[in-house]
Amino acid sequence: MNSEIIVENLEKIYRVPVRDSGLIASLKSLFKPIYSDTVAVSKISFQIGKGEVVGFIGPNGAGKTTTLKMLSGLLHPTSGRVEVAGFTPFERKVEYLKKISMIMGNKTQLSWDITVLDSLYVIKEIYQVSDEDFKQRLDELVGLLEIEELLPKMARNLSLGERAKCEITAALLYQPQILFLDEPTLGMDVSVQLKLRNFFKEYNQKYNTTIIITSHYMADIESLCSRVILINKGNLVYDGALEELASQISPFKIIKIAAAEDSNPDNYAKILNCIDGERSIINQRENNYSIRVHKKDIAKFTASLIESIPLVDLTVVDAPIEAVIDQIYREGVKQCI
Amino acid sequence: MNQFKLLKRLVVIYFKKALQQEIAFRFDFFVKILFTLLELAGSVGGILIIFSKVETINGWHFHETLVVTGMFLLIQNLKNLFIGPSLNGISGLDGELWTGRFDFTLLKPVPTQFYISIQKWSPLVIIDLVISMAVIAYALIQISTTVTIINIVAFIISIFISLTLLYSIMLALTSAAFWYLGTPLLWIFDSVIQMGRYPVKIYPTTFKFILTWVIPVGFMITIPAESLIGKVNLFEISGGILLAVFCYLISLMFFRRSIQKYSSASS
Repeated sequence: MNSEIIVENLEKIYRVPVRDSGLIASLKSLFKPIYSDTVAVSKISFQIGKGEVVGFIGPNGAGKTTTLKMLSGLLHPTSGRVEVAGFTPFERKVEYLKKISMIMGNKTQLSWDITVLDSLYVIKEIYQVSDEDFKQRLDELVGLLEIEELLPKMARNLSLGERAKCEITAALLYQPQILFLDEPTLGMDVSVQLKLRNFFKEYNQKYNTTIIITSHYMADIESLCSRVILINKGNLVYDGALEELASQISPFKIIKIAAAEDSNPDNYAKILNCIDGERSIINQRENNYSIRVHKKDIAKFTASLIESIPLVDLTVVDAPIEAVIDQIYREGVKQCI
Repeated sequence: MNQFKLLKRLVVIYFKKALQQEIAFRFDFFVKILFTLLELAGSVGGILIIFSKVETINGWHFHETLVVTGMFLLIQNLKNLFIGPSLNGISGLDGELWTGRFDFTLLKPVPTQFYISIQKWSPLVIIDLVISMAVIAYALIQISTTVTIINIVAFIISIFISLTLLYSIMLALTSAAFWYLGTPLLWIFDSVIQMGRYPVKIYPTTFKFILTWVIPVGFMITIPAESLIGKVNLFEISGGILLAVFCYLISLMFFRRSIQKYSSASS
């Protein structure tokens, strides 16, 4: 595999001013500021091949955006090596900047006071896209994202979802080789999210664009990324397939049962009594229960459940990915593996 | 496509973009004209009042002073045409640094300093430019000195000095915003340039010196005006060139350092 992105021992340390609360402390810090070093990214290494779609996941403040910014050249690394498409990003060479594109879910690069199409023309000029390419790419993107009727509107009058689609069009007009997506679906409704996901999937397959995406919506990651890189407190804790992460980290499955008609108040205690291993009832509605059980206990537990409670239904499912990720974020991955 | 062509095209597209924006707010046009007339009345009225009482101030007659007033408006408006709006878009509360949009600026494959200096235009300011030139022309005709070739050459050089100094100071103040995200420091510039409303030569020697060489509003306004009237000397012109080059290099270094600081600390 040809590596398009090479990261070795990449480290970013921020120097941030700190001070005690209160006016006097504020005054003191005016004359003698005290700084503390915050390690945002701590010696991480990975490689990403051409055309791969990789998800960066991790809790808020884990260092995902910082890493993305170092890859795109917005931030100087404190130490370590980054190489993207043969360039050193922070040198911000023109040829490099033309190869990459970044979409930030919470920021916009469209101009508010002119129409979307005019904004796209500005980008065409900046990236020196030929008239021919511009027309062809615009047609394609407009078709895929269904934004025909948005082009003559001013960006300020668009809804969040509409703006995101136009934002994506702007970012892809010059056909970048590498696409950095920083929470591209932030705040979108389900159908827009779904649409964007499908779009990126299709786009990646068609142009073999390398995509790195950060998102807090696991559905984004699940459907787009064959590989995830999990970052927590600046450390790379996992690099591999998402399903494997789930099975490695979560030794639990969920058993869903429906007890027979009679709503028996004893059921709750009975269920818990069925097993002495690690288990918890994570959801109950009327006679339906969801119980989280350790994988090794599944057989024993189901058997004893059937014996002690009359059931009408029983299913065993994997723990939802959200729950797994939540567990990692809260407990840290080391304890889990 | 070579660099120069790209830069030229950028200027054209951003000017066009600004035109489109202004057309969207037609009412602005009338407000703008009204504002221009008010400002003109204020500037000219101010010196009219003074000269209704006295014949000259330190050797400056009414019409000579009017050339300086016209020059004050001209320089001010050249600034307002694009340098001011562009650089104002960087610092300040809804500026790019504050909103984080500066990230997109850094990601654009164009020279950053050039880009941030020309990205916003106020096309309507062209009206003010014409009016301020008319004021200068009227005053020159009244003085009835012949404007020689040498005067014109001196004027072009001194306008160049003036704009270089103006741009350097504004670039430096904008760069300062990278270190300190408080009050937009460009406001300082607007107050400073107000000191150039009158010929700096009418002030006592110490002030004259400070306003020429330290806070160079003299170079920005009085000296271009003087070069038209024929009052300028070679020493001032050559000193101005050195000062302008010096200031530009300093602010350029400061700007580059500030960009580096942004990319090492932003979040």
